[in-house]
Amino acid sequence: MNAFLLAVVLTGAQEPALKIIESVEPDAGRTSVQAVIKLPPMSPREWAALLIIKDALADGTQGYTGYDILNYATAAGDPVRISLAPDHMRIGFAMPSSNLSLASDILKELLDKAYLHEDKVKTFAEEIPFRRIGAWEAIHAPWQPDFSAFRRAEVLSVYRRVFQPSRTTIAITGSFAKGAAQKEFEERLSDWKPEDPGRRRIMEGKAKPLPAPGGPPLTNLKATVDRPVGETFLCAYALGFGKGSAAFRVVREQLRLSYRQEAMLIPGENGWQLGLVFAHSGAVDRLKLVEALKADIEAWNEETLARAKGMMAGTFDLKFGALPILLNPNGWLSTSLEDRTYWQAHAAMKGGTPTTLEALRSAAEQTDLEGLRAAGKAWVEKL
Amino acid sequence: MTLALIGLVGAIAAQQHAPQLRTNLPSGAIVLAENMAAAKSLSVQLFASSRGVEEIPARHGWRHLLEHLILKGRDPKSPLDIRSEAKGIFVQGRTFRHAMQLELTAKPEQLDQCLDILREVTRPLSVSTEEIAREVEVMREEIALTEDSLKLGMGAWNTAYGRSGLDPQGNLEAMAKATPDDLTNLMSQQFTPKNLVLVISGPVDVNTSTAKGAAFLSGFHGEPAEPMSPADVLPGRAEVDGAFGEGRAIPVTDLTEEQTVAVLIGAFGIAARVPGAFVSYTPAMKNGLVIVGQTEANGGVGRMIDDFTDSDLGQVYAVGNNLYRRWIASQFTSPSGSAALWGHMLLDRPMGRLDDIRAAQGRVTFDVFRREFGRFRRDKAVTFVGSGR
Repeated sequence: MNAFLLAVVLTGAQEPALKIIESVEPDAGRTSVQAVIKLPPMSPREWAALLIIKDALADGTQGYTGYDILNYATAAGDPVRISLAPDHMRIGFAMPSSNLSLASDILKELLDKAYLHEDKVKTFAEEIPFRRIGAWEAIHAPWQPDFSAFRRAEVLSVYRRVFQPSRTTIAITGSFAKGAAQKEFEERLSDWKPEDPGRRRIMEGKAKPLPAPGGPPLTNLKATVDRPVGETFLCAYALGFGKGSAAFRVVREQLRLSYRQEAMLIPGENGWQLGLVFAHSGAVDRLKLVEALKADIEAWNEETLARAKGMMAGTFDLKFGALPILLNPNGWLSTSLEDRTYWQAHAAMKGGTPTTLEALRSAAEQTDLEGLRAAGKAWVEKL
Repeated sequence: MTLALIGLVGAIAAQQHAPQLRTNLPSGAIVLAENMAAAKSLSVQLFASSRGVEEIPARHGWRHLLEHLILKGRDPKSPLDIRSEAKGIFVQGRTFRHAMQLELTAKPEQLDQCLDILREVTRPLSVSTEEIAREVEVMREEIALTEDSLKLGMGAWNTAYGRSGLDPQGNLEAMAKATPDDLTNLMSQQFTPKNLVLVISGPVDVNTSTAKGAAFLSGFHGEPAEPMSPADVLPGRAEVDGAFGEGRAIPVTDLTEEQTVAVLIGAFGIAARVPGAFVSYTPAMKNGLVIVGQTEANGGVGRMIDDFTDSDLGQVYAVGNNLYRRWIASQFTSPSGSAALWGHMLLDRPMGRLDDIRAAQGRVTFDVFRREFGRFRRDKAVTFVGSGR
């Protein structure tokens, strides 16, 4: 059984600030720490600053060298994972469950005391504009950063403006005593009161597209679905997961447009979006494609529903493939300890969303054929 | 700042390993059953060695084409993958240089159904010229989507192993020339008992599973063709067309050799320092490559390796060791990972044991690591680079 605890830490007596979520999993074997920082509106230069922060953050803090952080994190998990999404930045790492104090201390240092060295900022500002990210990543990365004549002061300004307790949600999952992580992180972060940089923004600079990724072009049919998120999630399986999916039938077999096609749930500004992404070497007749998808969705039946639920069970219970969820452009979510914890932090940040991946699954399990088709139609009608 | 670190490094070293039963059948085929009592899924994996049917220019990609065709199943009106998905069984095929891997992921009670699926896909192939042509078109789309990391790896293989390094993905022209008879013959040569390893991993009874696996393998006959002798391994530089990125590739053997483990530790340690870096290695392959590189930029990894000081090496060793131990542990904690590792290993080392892997890991002290790390240097390794053109 998992214990689940959400606390809102009050700084001063006024408004809720830092959110901390603790989940106890006795068999976890390690502790996963995931912090999600909600992003305010960003200008091209501020996006540039964030991209530099993403790469330079774990390179050293006042208390730890970059090597220390790397060595500690890899002792129990992967190197510190920092990713950027349109609505948030994620910082995630694992530590042995017996060492909550080290985990909280490293997180505090990353949130509040990163060095962001001059030479590193300069190097990244020169390198990042020329990096070629993959096509599947690029299609979900909306930023168009401006790195020209970049200064460290701009990075520090954005670091202070964005890395604020009021924007941050921390989820911790592991095999510790109930309340232990909550207490540890609350105490450690109680004096996190970054200097107020004011509301001054860096608005100069021009949007500059990222270098074009290699490979065939991708099409992303994406729309917000005004249906319960459980239905939308299950719809991703029916639409574009596996060889019995609508996308396989329509995009690959009927129209012969692409070898690879995938549907996914993506957080959007106004609710959850459903995306169908495929690579293609030839031209796409969008009208014809949408009509073919409409006809396919119209024909969904009880077998479609059972297959979608079966595929969902495969991803959760048999660990077959990743989940059709993309919280950031760096990759699909899985049911790993890290990603379950990340979902919790993101859900708490976003609000109005199932608080755990299992809760999302339960919501999807409740879906009937009518709900599944309604989600599919709600999506395709907006294309 | 001082914080207690005791116990960190050893935290994941003490793993429990599942009871196994490996049976080397008189026919030459091997069945390994592994009881992972806590697992919630079953993994059934059939490996067919490329021994005797290695890639050569005239039939470059035929094995990959064969994999596509056999996984369609034998009922043209009801594709196998859709049928199996409906039962909650997931079928995947992969073609490597040294083997074809057919992997089924299912619920623990579905072993019989998995073996039935394997029986279906390994029945002699009956395919028309039109079906071959249609599948080659599908593969044209697949090949067009090849990621840069894979293209860079192909360039490194060709440089390191020459004629033995042809990629398993294949050449569309050569594939289009394959006839139904060619593919039938290829299949009968590849799926001979001495080329086959079946691994069953999950919450299963090892004796029952072994008996069922052995019964399945008794349906195969014949002798493999004479294997091709491997080419000499050479360092060098590969300029890869149509890909963007760079890195180094080091020829290695399997995980029972300390040299391989040391190189993998090095690759993991290097990759941890470079945003977006990748490491690729086919587990336990006798004549393999460890590849470390990046695809976001096409300079930096090679230079970083050549400039490493002794102090850098100490850090690369510590971090790489952490990541290697975790990788091995993760392989052995999931039915899919464990079955894959054992399948690859037993193809080339029929008497392979877990203790051999553990022992190799234990032998890689820092001195051994430092010695072997020299193989990443420019004059010893294969350097690959792609400008994206």
